[in-house]
Amino acid sequence: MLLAAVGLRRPELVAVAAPFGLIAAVGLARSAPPGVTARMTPGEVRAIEGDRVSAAVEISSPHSQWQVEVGLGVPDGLTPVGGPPRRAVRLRGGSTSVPFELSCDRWGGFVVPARIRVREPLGLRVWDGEAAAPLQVRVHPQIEPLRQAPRPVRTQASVGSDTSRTAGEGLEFADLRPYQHGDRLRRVNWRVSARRGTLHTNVHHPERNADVVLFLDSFAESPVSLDLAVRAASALATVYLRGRDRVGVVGFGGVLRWVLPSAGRAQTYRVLDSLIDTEVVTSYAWRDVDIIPTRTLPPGALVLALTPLADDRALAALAALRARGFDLAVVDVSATGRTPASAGAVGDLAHRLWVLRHEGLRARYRRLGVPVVQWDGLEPLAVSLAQLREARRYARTVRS
Amino acid sequence: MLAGALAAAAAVAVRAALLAGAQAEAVAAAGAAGCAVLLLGGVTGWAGGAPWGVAALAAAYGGALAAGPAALDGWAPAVAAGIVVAGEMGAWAAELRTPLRLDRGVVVRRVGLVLGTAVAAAGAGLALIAPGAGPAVAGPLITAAGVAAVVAAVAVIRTLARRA
Repeated sequence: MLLAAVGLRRPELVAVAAPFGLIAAVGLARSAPPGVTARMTPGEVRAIEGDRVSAAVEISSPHSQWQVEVGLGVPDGLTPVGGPPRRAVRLRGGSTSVPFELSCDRWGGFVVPARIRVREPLGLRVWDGEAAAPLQVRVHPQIEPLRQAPRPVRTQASVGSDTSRTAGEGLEFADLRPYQHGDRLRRVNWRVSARRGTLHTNVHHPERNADVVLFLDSFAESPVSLDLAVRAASALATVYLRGRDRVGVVGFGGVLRWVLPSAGRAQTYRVLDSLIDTEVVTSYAWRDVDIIPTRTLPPGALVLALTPLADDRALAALAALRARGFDLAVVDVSATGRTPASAGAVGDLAHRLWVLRHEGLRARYRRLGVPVVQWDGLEPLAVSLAQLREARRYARTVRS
Repeated sequence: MLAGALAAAAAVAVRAALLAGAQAEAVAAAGAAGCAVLLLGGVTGWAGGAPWGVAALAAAYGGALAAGPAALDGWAPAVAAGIVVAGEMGAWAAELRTPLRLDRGVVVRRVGLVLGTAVAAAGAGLALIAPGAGPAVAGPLITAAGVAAVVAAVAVIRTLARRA
């Protein structure tokens, strides 16, 4: 433009070009690295599905900044509330806090990075940066209230809320026997003693806890099934842990995850954290139950499998567990009921074959004495678990 | 924002077309192309829209000066201010295609900066064309001095860009 002005001998072109040259010269002469730092506060947040979480990006700079843009990389499952997750603020020397609010739409463990962009006046130069540590949001699934869960056949040694089959100190009446030295006087059944002429004492079933292992099949590449499995596992873990049972988790899939059985409130968080980290990882490697650490499956534990019955490796593992004598029950989360057939005759046929295959698999497990119920999320989980309790009663009859 | 950029660009394009005389159609086409590029940048968020739009508008004005009368165009400072406003507002409109919450202070300061820059551009333009209103002085020495000034200006900006 300036050369054209000289060539054409038109000073007007210098007048047009000069402002841009001056802007560039002044802007570049004043340009300096901004020295802006950013960090997220707090660093980690826990929430339940549907909650809103607040976080802030604290930006600080020794000098005043013309414009600082702060943006969050919001992953799927979280939604920014009150506008886009990017804000432009003016930063006077020192530090300022830029608040954001996020709505937790879905369970999971999310990492929310914060990026900053510092603009000089008229956008001549921009500087990009990132907060030192991203925000970690752990969203637990909404836990469906359950009053009862399937009771394990065998109990353990610690006190709990399950009635043991053995006789001992407890509340539930088990039997009568002749008085023996050392029996407490308050255990004497005076009515029976009077009728029989000798002292008889009541024997009770002690209340014991049990070991429960939640077996999550994460082989199947179906987000719906995984969602159902995690929701069911969260509800079951909560109800068992409330009853002082020991609960462990085995995530059986492309990546093997486990939580050793334990009891208590801290275990609730360990189990829920493990569940929300569960994800489908595609793998073609053959896996069987031998890869599961031995301590994860204590003897006599009830193994509750949450599986869409879709992957042969998971099916083989469940059959192996049954063969090893574990008390096994299966909740089928394949969601066949809520998955419509694709359009056309072929789609309809494929859907019917898929449903038939599942029915065949369920029948196969029932023949092995393993109770199987289906849960597709349309009905409350409690309904399916009530069916499971009934089925377990029948399965025990079959086994015995 | 985009409306402001297009209004300024259209004003520059109209002034260039009026000045162009016989070449009005070609100059108007260049001006319209500049407006279209600014519009495209503002609508799609293309950051390159503003510089290319400004270049097209400046080319249209340069073409009009080449094709038009030899007399000094007194509207040149206003054209300079118009091009600055079109470029800055066009760039801002493209930036805002990405959803962004702007604090009130940021908007006020930026609008003020754009208007201030436009006024400064007009003032600088006026100062630069004022000597040209007097008797014309031409010759190889003057031309050489002009070329040297251009080279010096480019060298200064390049040096500053390297240092930054």
